[in-house]
Amino acid sequence: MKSDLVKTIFAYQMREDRRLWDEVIMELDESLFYVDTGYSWGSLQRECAHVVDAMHGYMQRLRGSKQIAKAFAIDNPNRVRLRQRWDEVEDQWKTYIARFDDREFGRMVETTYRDSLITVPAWQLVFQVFNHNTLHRAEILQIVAALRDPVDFDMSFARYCIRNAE
Amino acid sequence: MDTESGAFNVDFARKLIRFHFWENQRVWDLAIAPLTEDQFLREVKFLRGSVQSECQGLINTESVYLQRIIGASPVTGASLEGITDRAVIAARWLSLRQAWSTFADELDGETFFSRCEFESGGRRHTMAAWQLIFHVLYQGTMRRSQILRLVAELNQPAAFDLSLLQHLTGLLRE
Repeated sequence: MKSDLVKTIFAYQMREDRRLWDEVIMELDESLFYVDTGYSWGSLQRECAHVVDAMHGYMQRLRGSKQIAKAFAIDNPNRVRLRQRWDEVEDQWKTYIARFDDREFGRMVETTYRDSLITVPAWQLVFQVFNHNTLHRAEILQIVAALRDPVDFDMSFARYCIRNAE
Repeated sequence: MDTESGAFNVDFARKLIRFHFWENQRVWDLAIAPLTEDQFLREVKFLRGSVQSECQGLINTESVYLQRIIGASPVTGASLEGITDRAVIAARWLSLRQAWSTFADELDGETFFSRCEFESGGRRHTMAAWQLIFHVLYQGTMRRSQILRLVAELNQPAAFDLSLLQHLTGLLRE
């Protein structure tokens, strides 16, 4: 039952990330993707790279790694490369969540966080990613607003649930 | 079904609700409280809002959705329209935090999966209580992000970050 809940929320998260890429980020003139707006990670490029890095890092943690490698081997991936890498990491998550069950929900994971060794149930790492992506979707929209205009982009989880139930 | 007593264990949901209000308080204390009255009320055009309107929006969501979950009728808004006094807003937020805290303490599997009927936009809707809870949690994450962006524009960037795992592990980076 908990795993069904996680799968529903993951589907919502993935849909919102894809909409953000398709309807907002890819619609921008590419030159704007690299402009530093001076807040948080600055540019859409660095913001998106950070999100992919986090998704990749938490997937490694769930797999038991204590040495967390970066998602990118290069410093400044362009928009196409970033999107490709995002999709690759998202695919790893899809595979993981497809097999997610209630045993996995409570499985204790020993890993590192902020240079400390921690032991936490898997659900805490999964929800960390859900929360982190939500936070950064909001930041991405703020960057777009600073670069261009505010975008009407409905991220309501309740409306997502209602639409899916219809 | 989960576990020890044979009942569904909702402890994870309790932890997430507590995180939501912990982080609200942190944003209030470290980012909103230092603002001047003018900064608190000033609209930032490109972000389409003010810190006051974002707080009001989040408080309203927390209030309305809790009423929907517990089946209150009629459901009323948080009644903060036009209220600019931070002490009044803080008091309203504290009472909501207490109401949600009581709700979280008493939450069980039956309530968590119960179906909630409510009216919105002239239509009747039915949702699971857990979906309404997670709507509030995600609205909170988005609104807090927006508040910190506004604060950075009006005053200075916050010197702390928002993170669920830092709350759950206690490993805060100030």
